[in-house]
Amino acid sequence: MESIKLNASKLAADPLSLLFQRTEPLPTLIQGITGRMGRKHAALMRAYGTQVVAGIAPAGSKSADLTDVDGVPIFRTCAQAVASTGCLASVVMVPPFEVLNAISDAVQAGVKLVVSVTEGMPAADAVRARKLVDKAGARWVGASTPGVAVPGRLKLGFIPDVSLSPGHVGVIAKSGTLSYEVNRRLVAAGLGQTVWVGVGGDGVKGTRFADVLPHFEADPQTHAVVVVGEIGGTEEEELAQAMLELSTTKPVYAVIAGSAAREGIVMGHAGAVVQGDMGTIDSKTQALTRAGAHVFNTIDGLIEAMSALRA
Amino acid sequence: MMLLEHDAKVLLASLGVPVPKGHLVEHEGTVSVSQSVSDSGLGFPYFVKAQVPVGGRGKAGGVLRVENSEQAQLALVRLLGSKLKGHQIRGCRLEAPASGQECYVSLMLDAASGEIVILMSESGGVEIESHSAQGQMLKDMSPFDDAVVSVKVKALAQQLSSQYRAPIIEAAQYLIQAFFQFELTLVEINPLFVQSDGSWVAGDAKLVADDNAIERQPRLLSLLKERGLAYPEASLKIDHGFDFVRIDEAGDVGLLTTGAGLSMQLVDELTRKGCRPFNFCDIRTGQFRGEPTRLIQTIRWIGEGKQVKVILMNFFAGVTDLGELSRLFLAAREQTADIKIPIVIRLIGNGLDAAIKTLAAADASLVVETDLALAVDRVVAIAKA
Repeated sequence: MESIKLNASKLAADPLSLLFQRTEPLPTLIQGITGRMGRKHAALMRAYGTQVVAGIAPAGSKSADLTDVDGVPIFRTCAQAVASTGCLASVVMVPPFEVLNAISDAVQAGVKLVVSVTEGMPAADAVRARKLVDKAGARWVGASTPGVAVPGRLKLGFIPDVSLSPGHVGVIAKSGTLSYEVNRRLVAAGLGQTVWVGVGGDGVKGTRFADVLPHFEADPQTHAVVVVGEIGGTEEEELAQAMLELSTTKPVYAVIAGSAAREGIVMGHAGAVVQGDMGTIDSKTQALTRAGAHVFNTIDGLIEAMSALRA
Repeated sequence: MMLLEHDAKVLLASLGVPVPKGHLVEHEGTVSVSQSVSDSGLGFPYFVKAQVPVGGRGKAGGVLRVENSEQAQLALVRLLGSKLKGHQIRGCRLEAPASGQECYVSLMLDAASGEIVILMSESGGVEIESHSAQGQMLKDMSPFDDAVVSVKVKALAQQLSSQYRAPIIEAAQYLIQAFFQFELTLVEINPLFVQSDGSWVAGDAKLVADDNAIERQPRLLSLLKERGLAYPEASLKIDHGFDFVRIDEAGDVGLLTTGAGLSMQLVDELTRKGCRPFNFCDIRTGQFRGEPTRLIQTIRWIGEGKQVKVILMNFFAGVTDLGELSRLFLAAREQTADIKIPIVIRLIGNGLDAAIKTLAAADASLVVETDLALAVDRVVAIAKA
């Protein structure tokens, strides 16, 4: 039974719902398609089934005279791309200090779902991007996300095919590699995914764990949720709070990395740092456990528990 | 990146924030220590404060009051090179004592809301967490805009006793400037000493810079250039483009791994199995561009660990081709042949079969494990043998 606190019209208005409707196509734009990574990943996304309908090479850039990249038409601005192709989603693959402008260009042109995979976007830029995105009624996933995916249909970003398989698990993850490892093993155990949202490892970000949870709760195809968390920030705690507030019914399985990390030292991800009592593994584990989640400190533990779920 | 107190104070003082007179000592060994003590120009008594990027240094024994040069030297010898809350003490700040009413003021970026948290109190000091719990801390949130923060600070300060209001507002204005100019995520003065005449001085200062913004912050970049040893992780990332964190100089397992989350998880799991990981590493295989440079560099760094008995190499190749990667690894191994640490190789993903063949053909001992749990078990067995 659906929780009474889930607001259906609010969920439908959130462009994340584009990932949960399973019939309409999702025409997608790639900002940064002319770069080395952009071109490579555009090809991989298309091979997976993503409808890449446009790319951007801004006026004045060295690729501004390109008309297409591997057959994908190239435009100068997102407004031109949207007008000409009707694209609803964008993947941003530009250098870190250019991400804010790219997001701004996309949402002002009417793009509804923006996924930025760039690592190293400054927090001040991320705060500004959030404001722009909110004002436009759009949804931003990232920065620094490995991407989002609807297995069997599309992927926006880097998530490797070997970790993807259609199924009934909803995935939310900060880390790319740890989520690839966990999901490759879940797939091997016969557990695929409905929707996978990589939220990224930065502190300030467009989409947080708790933003995705109500979509999983409302989605009849999603039977369980996997959380790949890590130390730093308060996202796991917010997720626990949301589970309680929504009285969610679907089992939540979590693995949280960073128990052995030292206070004050950043472990790779800008957001993965313990400051005083904030962001510790204990705080996260306790909050999630209290909310009814199953929290594991080893990958094996999580895989074993979830394999039992299938049996 | 959390700035060391000394650097935080130098940065704030450059904006006009009053700080106690201080002097940084980074040398080890008694001769240079005695030189430093006489160079400092400070009159006794003063404090010797360990420079490590964590709070609660005083309680942990990292702040010592000294009455004469003999005590100062003893304190420096005791602190320099030792560890405080898991951090090597590479430097100490010698600092003139300051006193007054212990107030508190801070600005913090709240990642969840994207807003700025303003905190202030006229009874700060080291026990600030418990004050906060007791409701003696004034708090407000402000949109991410310096002018609005300034207005909110003044409004919030109306709840303070009149003798502390002006000093705290003045200090907060400097913090607002620092916060936006240097792209900080946290800036705090605690204690903020307020004297009876209304003058004030920053007893301690905490600044956390946004790691992602450092490359466009000239002051922070030059700090890393000048004092890179004090910020090994951040300066390594600027210089080499990837992450390598020394966790335990006496560690027995080196990690040659890609991916921050998975590498952190491996550190956790190895620690839980009784190993002592020497390092954390996110080498980012996707950025190799056909060069073994990062592999060579990482193997060299791990080779500096005197107790390292085994290296775990773990690459999950979602996109990268493992065949190519294994050729780069062989090239790196050839150039680091002087480092004889055994290596457990775990590979999974694109081009696995080619990689297995390439490695076996070069050296029969290079056996590829595909199961991560089994690879970890092999590492643990070698480390404990």
